[in-house]
Amino acid sequence: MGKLYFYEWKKLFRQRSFLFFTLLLLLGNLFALFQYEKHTDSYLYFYRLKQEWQEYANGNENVANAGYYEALTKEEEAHVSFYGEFLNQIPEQAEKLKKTGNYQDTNTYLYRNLIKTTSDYKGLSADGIRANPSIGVKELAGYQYGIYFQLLFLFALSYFVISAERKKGLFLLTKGTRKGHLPLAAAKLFVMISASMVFGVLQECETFSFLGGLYGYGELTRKIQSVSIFRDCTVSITVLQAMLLLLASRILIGILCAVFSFFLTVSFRKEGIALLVYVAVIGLEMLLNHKIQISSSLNAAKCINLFFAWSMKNIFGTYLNLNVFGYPIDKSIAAFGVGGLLACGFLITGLRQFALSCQISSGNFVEEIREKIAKKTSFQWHHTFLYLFELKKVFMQQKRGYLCLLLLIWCFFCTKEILEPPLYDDPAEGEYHRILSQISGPVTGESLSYIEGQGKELEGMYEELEALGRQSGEQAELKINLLFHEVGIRAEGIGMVEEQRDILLGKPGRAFDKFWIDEKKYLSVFFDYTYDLTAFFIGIAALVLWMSEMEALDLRKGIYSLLYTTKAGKEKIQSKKRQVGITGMLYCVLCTLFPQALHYFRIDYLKNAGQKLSDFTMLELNTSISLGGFILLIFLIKISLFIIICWLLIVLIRKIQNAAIVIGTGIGCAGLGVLLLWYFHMDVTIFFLKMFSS
Amino acid sequence: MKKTVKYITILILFTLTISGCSKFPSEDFYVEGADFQYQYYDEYNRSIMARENDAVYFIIGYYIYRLDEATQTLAPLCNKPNCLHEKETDNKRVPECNAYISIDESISEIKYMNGYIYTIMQEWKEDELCYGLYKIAEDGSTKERVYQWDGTVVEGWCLHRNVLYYVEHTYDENNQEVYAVKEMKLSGIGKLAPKTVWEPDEDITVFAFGILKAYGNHLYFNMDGVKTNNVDELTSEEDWIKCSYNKTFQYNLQNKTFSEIQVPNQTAAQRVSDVTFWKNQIVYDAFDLTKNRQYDATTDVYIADLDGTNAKVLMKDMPIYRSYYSDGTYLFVSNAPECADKIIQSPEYQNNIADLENRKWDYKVNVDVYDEDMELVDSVEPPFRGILPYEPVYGIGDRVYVQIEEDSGEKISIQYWDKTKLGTYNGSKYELIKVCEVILPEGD
Repeated sequence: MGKLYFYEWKKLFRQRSFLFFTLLLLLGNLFALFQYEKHTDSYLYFYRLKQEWQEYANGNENVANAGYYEALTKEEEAHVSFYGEFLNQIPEQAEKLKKTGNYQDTNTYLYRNLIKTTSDYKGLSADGIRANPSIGVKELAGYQYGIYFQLLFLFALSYFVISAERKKGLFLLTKGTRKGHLPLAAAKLFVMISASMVFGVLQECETFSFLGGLYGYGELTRKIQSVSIFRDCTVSITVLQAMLLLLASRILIGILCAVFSFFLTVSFRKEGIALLVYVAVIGLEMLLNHKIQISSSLNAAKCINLFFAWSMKNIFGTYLNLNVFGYPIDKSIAAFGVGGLLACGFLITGLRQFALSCQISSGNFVEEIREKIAKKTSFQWHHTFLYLFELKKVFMQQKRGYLCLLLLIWCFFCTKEILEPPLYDDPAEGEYHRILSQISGPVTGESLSYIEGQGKELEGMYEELEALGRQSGEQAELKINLLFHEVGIRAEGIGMVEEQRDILLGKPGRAFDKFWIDEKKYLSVFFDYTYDLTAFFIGIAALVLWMSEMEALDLRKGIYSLLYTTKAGKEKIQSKKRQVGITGMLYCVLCTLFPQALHYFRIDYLKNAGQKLSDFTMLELNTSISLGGFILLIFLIKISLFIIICWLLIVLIRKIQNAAIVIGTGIGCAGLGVLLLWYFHMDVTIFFLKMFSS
Repeated sequence: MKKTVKYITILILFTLTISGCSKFPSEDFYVEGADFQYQYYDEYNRSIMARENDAVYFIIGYYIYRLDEATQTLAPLCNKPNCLHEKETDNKRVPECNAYISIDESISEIKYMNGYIYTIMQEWKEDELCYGLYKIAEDGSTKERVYQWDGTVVEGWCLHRNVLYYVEHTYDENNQEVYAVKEMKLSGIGKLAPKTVWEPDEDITVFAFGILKAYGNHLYFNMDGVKTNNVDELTSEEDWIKCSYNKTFQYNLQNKTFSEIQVPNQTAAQRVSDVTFWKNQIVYDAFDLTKNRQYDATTDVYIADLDGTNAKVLMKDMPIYRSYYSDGTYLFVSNAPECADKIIQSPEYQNNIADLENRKWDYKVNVDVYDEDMELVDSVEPPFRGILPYEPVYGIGDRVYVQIEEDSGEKISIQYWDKTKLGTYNGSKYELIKVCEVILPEGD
């Protein structure tokens, strides 16, 4: 089996696209780490202003940001000096809790957890706790995006190690050999495990080195509890030991994921379904980690979780015992224990599946129904139009019709949400929107008078209140209540409109060339980056999934040589495929951009499209582009992005001619890009607004 | 084989669905542990305390505390000995304490139901403040968010038999107020899906929703406002009194019907603004707007079935400025509203003269205590707390717990007066016995 193992490694190293993809992921991780760090205070104060920080550390308190450094230093020193007291109060609190009724029964989880918590902290002391710059350690604990690169790598790895050979039909041959069952499966599995370890080491080393280079880790021999975010750690280890343990735990997570992806790829035999299940499980893990709170009764689902265990802060900085049949078990032990069991389970099952399965896919109930429907409606495809035929191949066959439907349903629900009448929780917002909807349009004498009138009405109400305050009786009391109520609803909103008026009229240019814009509504759409990025990702993902098979399908069936000899010939077929690609792109553009366009339209029906951006009162923009022009620009850029991606996909497909790689690369890159943008609260609109800001 | 798998799948799905249907009490009387704890509703229509068997829960500052009555121990409702609770200074760790609630005690509430303490907190969601319903285990071991509202203000809420009833307040695009009384099941089919139960008519300007209480199969809520389409048409005192809208409604949770709680032959000037629960019935009176500030004026107090029918006179010619509370055993009739109104109307209060807290007022606060046969058992004088007379939460059991500020607000002490001594006071002040105290951190 040793020879098989090394031979698998040799095959893997010969896959240039795989090596290139791995390098891309490692660089991507570094890039993501850099982008993440660039926006932190630590980067500014401890890297870009490194000299200043070093001067301060050497005793010069006259540096420009001395206040910031002093506050941070004091915080660290306060934590270190308080740590002993923190430890001492734990048994005191425990004794106090023991006196209460809930802890009288010693055979409960509650009591056992209390005893365990007290004993876990008992072995700790304030010795070895020293205040030292902990920036590098804190940033290492904060960066948690490496797992995404690891997961992408592992799925690509499973493709190259297993799926690629299965597609070529090599398994039918190799499984006929003497070592073609279990030894072959074991070799492949261990290659995957080793490769994940190598990738994990490389990735973590580059992360550690990068952050060490930027900030340093301070004194590595001090206890990890010296860093305030790890105050709750119950293990007496140094900073260096903690970092090594982190490396080890991430490698173990990588191994578990490698075994899992091996199991999936072997069991499902269709990469698409394996990818779907892989993504679904990862997605579920992400959701559970994000949605469940640490103090929830379902915290086991949060803690026994890849994403939770990946985080350094969670491993060392969160103390929690899970309730396992009434006994408290440390969350990290539980997580790694379950992970270990799962890994063994996947390993054994995966190996068995590979050894016993015949690699033949089978249908399912939904598939049967879909095929029946396809048969009944097949008459619509009885024609000779090349364009329609290519359209069907790309958008309908192999369940791609579901994508059309899903995209349409998503568009429908987004549109429905936009068409629902809005409700506000703040009366000031409600009043602001009410007034702006009344005067929406160009600034005129009437509109200025209307605003003034609103202000006078408010003043009138104040005067009336004053007068009523001098009266008595039920009538006076009711009137006062009514007036107070109305003033409360309207005053702030009128104030906001008046402020907008004053700023607008103070801007350069003729007042009557300007417009009354509901700026709050526009701003809420401009800065809704979550929706923008989601729409973009969905559109791109759908486009990639559709177009990935455009060339690959015909190549796989080996019919190009036949197709090119037909009357239509190569040029016409290629041209029709391009048209189909453009159709798909237009469909994606329509489904993703229509709700956004509707959202803008619904604000004021573009009555105020002539307003210059520089006349916005709630944004400091120094461009004379009109609002309508800006919105058009944004949409043109978004459409252009789709066109560029469509063109790139066509080029990629023709070069690589492998659907799975195109899907993985396309969606992976789009997903990573979107995640990064989401993290930095950025999208096309916000980018241009920042570019135009003064 | 395929058919077997299909049938097993259907059976599993069916079992899961049925298991989601919990059984809730449907009795038309108070069920301890599952029902709204009306005994802990204070004078400001808030539940600031809750009880679970031999433990009482308090809000002190931004934390919930649990008092174990058997051992007289007060501790934050958090089972983590490594948590610093109110002594925590790291802002990022503060919300991690299970006892922490993000709203100050002056407006926050807690309610007990089925082993959990529920509270509504404010929290940040993508740069916007929103409300979230949280439940904390009675032993402080877990704390989780049950539901989060988006762009809605929750004004008043009540938990009763696994259903949350609350008042939702929003504004539409014409800045018209939109109020709705809503219900949301916390388990079973239709879980966490809010449904509108009641909405006021469009021509009503709502000032406030008061009281949201439940008892047996009934929900009660009060709405205060003005009902008119044209304010300018109201010219006389009579017109204004007619359009003043202060009504209390009961909603039957079984047959989903509404009715207004009224006194027999109710006039246009009379208002029922609150109900108290006594002997599985409701007790209420009607305030006559034409007798505002007439402290000698009297009114009849009625007792009726829970749906407001079969109203009978319980107490005849009672002074109008009275409040009624019940702990299930006694009916407490307090003149604190009269004293408070007189203080508020006084020149000293109106002119905001300094050191009002230490001023000795001429008004004596008195609480008459009646047993279930409506025999007067005793009269007691509760203490003042701050400028105005204090109306304690009578609660369940023998002790009436109060929170007293000491040392200029640096300490809060939990004290109680013993209801078993009723019959010995004869109008004198009751003695408060100290249980324990909490030293508040600096800045609270």
